[in-house]
Amino acid sequence: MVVFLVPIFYLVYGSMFFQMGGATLTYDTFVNVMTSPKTGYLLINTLVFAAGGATLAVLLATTYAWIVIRTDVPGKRVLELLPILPLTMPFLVKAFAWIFLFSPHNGLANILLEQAFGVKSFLNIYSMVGMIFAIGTGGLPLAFLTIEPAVRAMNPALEEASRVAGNGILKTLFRITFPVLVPAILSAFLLLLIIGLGNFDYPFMLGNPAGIDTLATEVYFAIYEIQPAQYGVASIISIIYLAMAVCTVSLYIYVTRKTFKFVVVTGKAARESVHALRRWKYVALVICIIELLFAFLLPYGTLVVMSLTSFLSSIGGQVQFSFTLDNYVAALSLPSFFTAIRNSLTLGCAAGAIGTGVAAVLSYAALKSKVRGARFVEFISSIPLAFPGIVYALALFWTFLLLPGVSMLYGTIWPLVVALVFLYLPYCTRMVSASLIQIADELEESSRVSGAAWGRTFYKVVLPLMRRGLLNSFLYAFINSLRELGAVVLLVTAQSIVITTLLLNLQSQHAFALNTVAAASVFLSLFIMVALVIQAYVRRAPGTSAKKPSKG
Amino acid sequence: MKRGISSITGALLILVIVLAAVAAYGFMRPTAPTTTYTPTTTEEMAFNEGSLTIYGVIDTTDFTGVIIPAFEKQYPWAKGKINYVGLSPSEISTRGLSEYKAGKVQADLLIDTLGSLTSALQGGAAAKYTSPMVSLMSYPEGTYDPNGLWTVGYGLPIVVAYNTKLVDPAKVPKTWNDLTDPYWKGKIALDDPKTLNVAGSVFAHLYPIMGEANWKALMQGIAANQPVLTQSAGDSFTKVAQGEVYIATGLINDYLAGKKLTPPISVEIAWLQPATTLPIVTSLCTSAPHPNFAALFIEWFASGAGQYSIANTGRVPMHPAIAAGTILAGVLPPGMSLAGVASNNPDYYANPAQWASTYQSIFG
Repeated sequence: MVVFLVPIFYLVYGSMFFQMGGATLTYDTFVNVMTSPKTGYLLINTLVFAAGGATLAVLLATTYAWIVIRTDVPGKRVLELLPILPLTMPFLVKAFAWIFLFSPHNGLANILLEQAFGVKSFLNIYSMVGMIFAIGTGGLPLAFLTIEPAVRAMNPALEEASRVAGNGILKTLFRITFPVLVPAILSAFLLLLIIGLGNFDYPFMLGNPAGIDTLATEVYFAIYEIQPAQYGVASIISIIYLAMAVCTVSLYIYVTRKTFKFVVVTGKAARESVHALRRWKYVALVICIIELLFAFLLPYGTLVVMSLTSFLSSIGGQVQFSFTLDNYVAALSLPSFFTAIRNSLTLGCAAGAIGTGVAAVLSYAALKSKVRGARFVEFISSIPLAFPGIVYALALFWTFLLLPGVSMLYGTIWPLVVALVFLYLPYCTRMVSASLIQIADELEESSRVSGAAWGRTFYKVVLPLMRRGLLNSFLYAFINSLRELGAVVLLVTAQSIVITTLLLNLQSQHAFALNTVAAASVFLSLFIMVALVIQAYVRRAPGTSAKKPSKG
Repeated sequence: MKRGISSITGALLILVIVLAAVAAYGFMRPTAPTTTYTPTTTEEMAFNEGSLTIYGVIDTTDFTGVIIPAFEKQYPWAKGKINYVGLSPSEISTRGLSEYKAGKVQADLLIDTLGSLTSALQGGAAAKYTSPMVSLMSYPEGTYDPNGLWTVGYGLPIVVAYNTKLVDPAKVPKTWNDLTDPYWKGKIALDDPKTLNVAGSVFAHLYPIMGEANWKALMQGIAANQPVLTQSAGDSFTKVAQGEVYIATGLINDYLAGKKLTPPISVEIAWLQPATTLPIVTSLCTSAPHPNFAALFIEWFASGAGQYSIANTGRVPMHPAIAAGTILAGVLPPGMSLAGVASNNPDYYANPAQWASTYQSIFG
């Protein structure tokens, strides 16, 4: 609670009393912001962007999950692993690729589609539709990871009964399968809505050039683009942002609490069955490949191409490309590049370790402790969901600048660690809880009855059973720390620069640094890819194998 | 299948080893060896201070690849001791001022556009420093602050860049009013004027020349063409070079850098009268952790060696003779002179908030 309340206090305090050119948090400023039409416009943009992206991501993920898990599509084992690949690309990096492909006048993909099909400007990436497309395709991994367990755990008897009654695969899909999956789909939608509400990268890169601003970009621009900085405006916008996010998070907690199901470790395994699609399985495979194309292959391929040329342009559909490795040499020659890599890896490890530790304590207290207020502990772990990254970063900025005793840490990496631990705590807690909740109380009780103290029981019995959840939690926080921009962009200083802020600074400073940025981004993606592969191996459930297809 | 998995495992293993080597280099980079030297007072104190942190608007690749090596050539003991953070003009000013106000100054030196830096200067974030090199090198008025809050840096002539594959030669703008032609709707990129960088400064320069009524008509005409507002002039130039927009206000160094690429970019520049140059100045931070090292750098930056290193990045040295003999030779049209942008508009530097607000009301 301290980590939550203190920054909120300083968010208001710093803006009220930190005078710079008269831009303070005053009653007049409050009224001006609250009554400004622009504020309403920002709210609507933020909601439309987040809801649209969540809808698209859930549609893509549900389709993909059903095809991969419940049909005999070829290459299932590989297709199950691939949805996580988009996580290797930070949103900021993907934005560079989308701009090259879908900028309205000379996006390469737009030009080629116009030449092939006569469709002019198929997708303008600098538009709300473009932003929704970018975040929707980017949300495939998380939506898939949320929906996949529900698809896998679904009782096949329901579908079999429908098939026996004479319904085809599609009718069974829409009348039985999807309604059963609604709670999981709704949970995924709300989770992605929360993430979309807090997203800074796409509104910054794709929305702002078209005059489409959201609450996240408004906070940033109020501080860094307007002279003098308007901290009062940034704080008021942040509080509005927070209020909106709290409502969404409350809804998410309510929905997930009602739909939360768990499988007891000692229970019997669920029997899976797959539908035989016959020749349609190749159509299903194409659908999966198209989803992966937009979610990962296309942007990553563009990024690699950009990194291998001195300057890439596609005027009139003619791609100007000259092969070179100079961009990689330039990226590796930047002294700040290695500093940023070092800081990013340190930040990821610290955020992962501390976040996992705190999550383990909170989860154990909420699920296994018999003290009063255990539910409150669960609520506390969900509070960070309500904080858009940039809002919490602004609050921490003031805290580490002004709070005595803590201000000595300003300029170090610790403000970033605190920001990321706080922001990823809900996800870490859920991952740890998912493994903890499967452990029957009888196991601990048996250990205690045999004479083991609580500590020995926890170390010898509980911890080994939790290790998969702990490792998942660590890797999740580590990977997302490497990708994060919104939560760190206000907190980095000369000593604590990280790779995402370095990429942002390079891109905005120099007209032709984009290709060097692409090369540096490839390095970042490779680091994340290694961590993801490790997480994928950890995540795969034991004992699942090919199922006998149901006769259609 | 098993052989395939072994190949994948092997490839992953090699990848992990390569990445681990990259990461390990980041953690274990060797520090510069010490060397003997003949000390001067400022240099000795700078040496004892041990490091220098600069927040600067020069792009990181040019500063770390050209300017720092030139400094280290003169001061070998400084190798590896300069920490450069490239930021946008507004970020430099905001960070510098907020850190000063909170008593947590991280940077020793700020290198920023004069317009964006003004709020930091007015807020007390800059210490007074009179550079001896200014009088030694006979810098003219206008290249340094008589009150010592900022001193010599370099200039960036402001141009209008256009993509030669998209713009007919007959349509190339010849005056600023040509930008109000509806032909350019959606085809112009400007760095956001309210950041008081390139576009904001050059528009402010036009105000005393055109008068209020004509100036407002110009601003509203350009705004009606729905320009793409970018974070920086470099960003605008990239959009022109990539063909996303047809024209943009930009800086000469981006044009010169683009012409060095293989193949060179399809962009040319138009010099619209009055031709102006964006002053980039240096300021010693109040309560700088390493003030002597910062002072040493300021002196070197204003010296011949520093000014020539600036020219090597494609930027225009502030020293007129060095500028004329390097970057401007063959680039500036004959007979054309450059004025410091908004040097004719003292109100622009005295009231930056008012100008930012004016631009916000026009461009959004």
